Amino acid sequence: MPRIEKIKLPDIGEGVAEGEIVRWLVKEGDEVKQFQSLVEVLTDKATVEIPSPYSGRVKKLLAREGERIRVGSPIAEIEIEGGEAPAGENVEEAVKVEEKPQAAAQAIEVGEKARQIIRAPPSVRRLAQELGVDLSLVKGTGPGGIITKEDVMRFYEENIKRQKQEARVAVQETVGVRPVERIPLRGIKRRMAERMIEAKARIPHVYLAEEVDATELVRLRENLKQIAESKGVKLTFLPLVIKAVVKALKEYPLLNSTLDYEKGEIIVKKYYNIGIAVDTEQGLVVPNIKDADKKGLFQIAREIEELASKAREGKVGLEDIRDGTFTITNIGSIGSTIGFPIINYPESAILGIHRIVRRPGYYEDRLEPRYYMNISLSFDHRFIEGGYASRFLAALKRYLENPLLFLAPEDEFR
Amino acid sequence: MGMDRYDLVVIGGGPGGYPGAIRASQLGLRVALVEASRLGGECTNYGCIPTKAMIRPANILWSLRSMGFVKGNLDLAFDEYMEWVSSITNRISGGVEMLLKGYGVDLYRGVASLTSEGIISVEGIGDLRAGKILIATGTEPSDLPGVAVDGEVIHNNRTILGIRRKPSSILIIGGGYIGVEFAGLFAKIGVEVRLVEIMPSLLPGMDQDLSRAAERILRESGVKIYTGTTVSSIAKRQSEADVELSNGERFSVEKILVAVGRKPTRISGLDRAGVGVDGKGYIKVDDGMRTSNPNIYASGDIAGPLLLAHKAFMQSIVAAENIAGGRVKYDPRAVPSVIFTEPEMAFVGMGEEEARKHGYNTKSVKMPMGGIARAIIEGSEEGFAKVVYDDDTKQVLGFVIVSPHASELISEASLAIEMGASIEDLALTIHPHPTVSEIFEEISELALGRPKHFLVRRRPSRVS
Repeated sequence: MPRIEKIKLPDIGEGVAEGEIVRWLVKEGDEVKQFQSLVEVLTDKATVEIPSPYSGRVKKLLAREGERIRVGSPIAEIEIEGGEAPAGENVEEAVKVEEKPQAAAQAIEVGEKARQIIRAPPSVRRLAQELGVDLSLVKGTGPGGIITKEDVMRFYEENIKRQKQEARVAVQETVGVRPVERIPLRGIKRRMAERMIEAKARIPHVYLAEEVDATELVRLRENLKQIAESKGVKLTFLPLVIKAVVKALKEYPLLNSTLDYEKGEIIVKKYYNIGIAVDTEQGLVVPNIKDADKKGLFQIAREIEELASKAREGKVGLEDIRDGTFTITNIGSIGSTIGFPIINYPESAILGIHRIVRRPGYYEDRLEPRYYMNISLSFDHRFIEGGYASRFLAALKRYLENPLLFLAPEDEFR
Repeated sequence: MGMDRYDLVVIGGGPGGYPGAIRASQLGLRVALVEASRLGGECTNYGCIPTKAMIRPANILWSLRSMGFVKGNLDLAFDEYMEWVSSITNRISGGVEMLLKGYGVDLYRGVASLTSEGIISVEGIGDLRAGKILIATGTEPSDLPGVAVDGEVIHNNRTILGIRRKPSSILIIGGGYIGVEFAGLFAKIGVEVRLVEIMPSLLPGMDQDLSRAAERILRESGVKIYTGTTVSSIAKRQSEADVELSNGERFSVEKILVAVGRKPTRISGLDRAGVGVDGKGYIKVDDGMRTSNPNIYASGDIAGPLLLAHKAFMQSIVAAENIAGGRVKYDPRAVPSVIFTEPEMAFVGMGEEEARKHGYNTKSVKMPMGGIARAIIEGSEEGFAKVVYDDDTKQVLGFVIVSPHASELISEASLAIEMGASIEDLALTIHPHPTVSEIFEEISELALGRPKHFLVRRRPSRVS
């Protein structure tokens, strides 16, 4: 006799009253095992995977991705076959339950499923646990259909690895001899690791770098700073770079697109949501400025400030990180001369900007103090040629060196 | 003492605790272990080890006497016997200490309690700071209301080990495996034994064939068995007690042993730490031995039945590996149980009822030991074996065995179940002759309809 249990968002941790449903890890109709992760929930502290308290079938998902849910509110319904003993319930009690008169009718129902008790020796079960392989999905090729280690490995290679498109890093176990500290990879850090692996595994990156004479940009910012401050805005170089980037992207739209390799299509985006990489204590977060092409410099500056502080407080919502089209990362703020970032998959390119340095340079045959900044570009070489990307970078350099060109209304200087 | 910081603090030095401490240390963690009493826990000091030590001389004495052709007076120097038993437990407990120290586990002696998140307070020592905690405090003997253990006349399994003079008579209350083992051993060294069990049969909850075998085996060694019976009153007089049973029978005994089950040994601070317990006080764990507090694990008896040392060993290791960052489960198919009577009794896996409930096309075959030459030599042809299997796949699901060395033999059945072996596999595996292990080959052949050493008479088929 199946019964339906409502799963509520559990108390995730101290002081956390609500969480945002980031991603469902199961869908309606899926069979789940007890303690299997159901959903990723982003709290203001971290991303948490919520395990299922029961084994059964997912009857209904009661919360949408992106929705904020209060602790204690139902998030899903699970259909449970028969009366399964919850964790820790002792055997004596379980035996007593089975001795109830109606047990016979129930036993047949339970039987059909349990019948498929998996034939796998302990070493194979251990391997499956370590690889995260569900043995009920593996076909055994050993004597009498016993699942062998080879079967588990084959399943793992063919399914899990491919499904996740994730190259697992073989971690050499340092067993016993050397002191180590084991830091669990969870929440944002775990997602960062997954996304980096995915991006690097899928995208053949090519890197370009360019030096920009930023003297005009520095001068422009000096001029605008006062006005910005009077409006309560702290103007950094980033909003200026964003404006220049949008302008260059409009001319080179492949860098504002996504390759759907499986379908064999390039999806060129007609909107410009520019991501900014923010380094936080919990890990890397990339919120984006929506429709940066339609926004003014000060508005962009204001939004950057908001997003950055949200990110540092771990309060970035799914809405803020979703639907980015191109990313900018400030590599030089701490001190590197040049760095090549990893593309924020499924975007097609990422721009690295660096510290602006003052040094002597020639301007109209005169040696004088000038400002310079390195910029770097990583792009998806599956569908973007080196020449195309170089021309994008050259255009961007031109804009950054002559800010009037990107600040002026469209078409004016064409 | 300043607060020492450990990756793992294990509370309890018994089978649920020390293996995990060793494994965690092998995996590179900084580990401490807190023990309130003796290392090795109930098993080493008051359970498995001393009782088996007591049983072996008792069995030797009994079998020499019962052979009839060994002449002369054989007797037991009881105090030396008990000294030898305690020397065995000391040696094994000392071995645990040597291992822990050898693996660099810091030992603290005292009662532990959880004071605040990640802090363990050890009575008389101070606070320890722990990244993770493994609770393995085990169980202790349950009390029988109105029958207070005094360590003089009325004993539990712990205090009885302290006696140094052989009692003339003993009443054992409780016919579970502890009561049954003590009844058999005391009877064999010449103590008048009465065994009282409230349920209708001994070894309640176990296979009925085992209950019957236990009664037969104990009766043969002279134990008076009272099933479906309770103790109505106990009146202590100096060094003995007058007892009245629920059936009206009255007698005097020199010692009373209370063996009515076990209860969890809880430490203080579980509530505060958010560690969930069930209605009986056992800590709730998942199959990775995690409690409801993500930094606290539990293993062994305190994590709930089965209350067996070998189960505790495995759980302790699983807990340690998960604490060290692994992701493994405690998911045995086969946890063997042994009752150290003579002949011994052992079982593993599913009984017929359970197998049927799991939807197997359940078949079982029982076979007496009489066909096994070695069992006759060992004087235990009254034993038997039983195999439970699935008739479609012939997969071995469960095994019961009553025979000499059953405690050793059962592991072949455990391995068969864990490996998913079939009775055909057992039948085709050559077993050395003459050994009791041949029963695996014989009973599998019987199940397949072609035993070598057992006559199956074909009944002529009749048309009705």
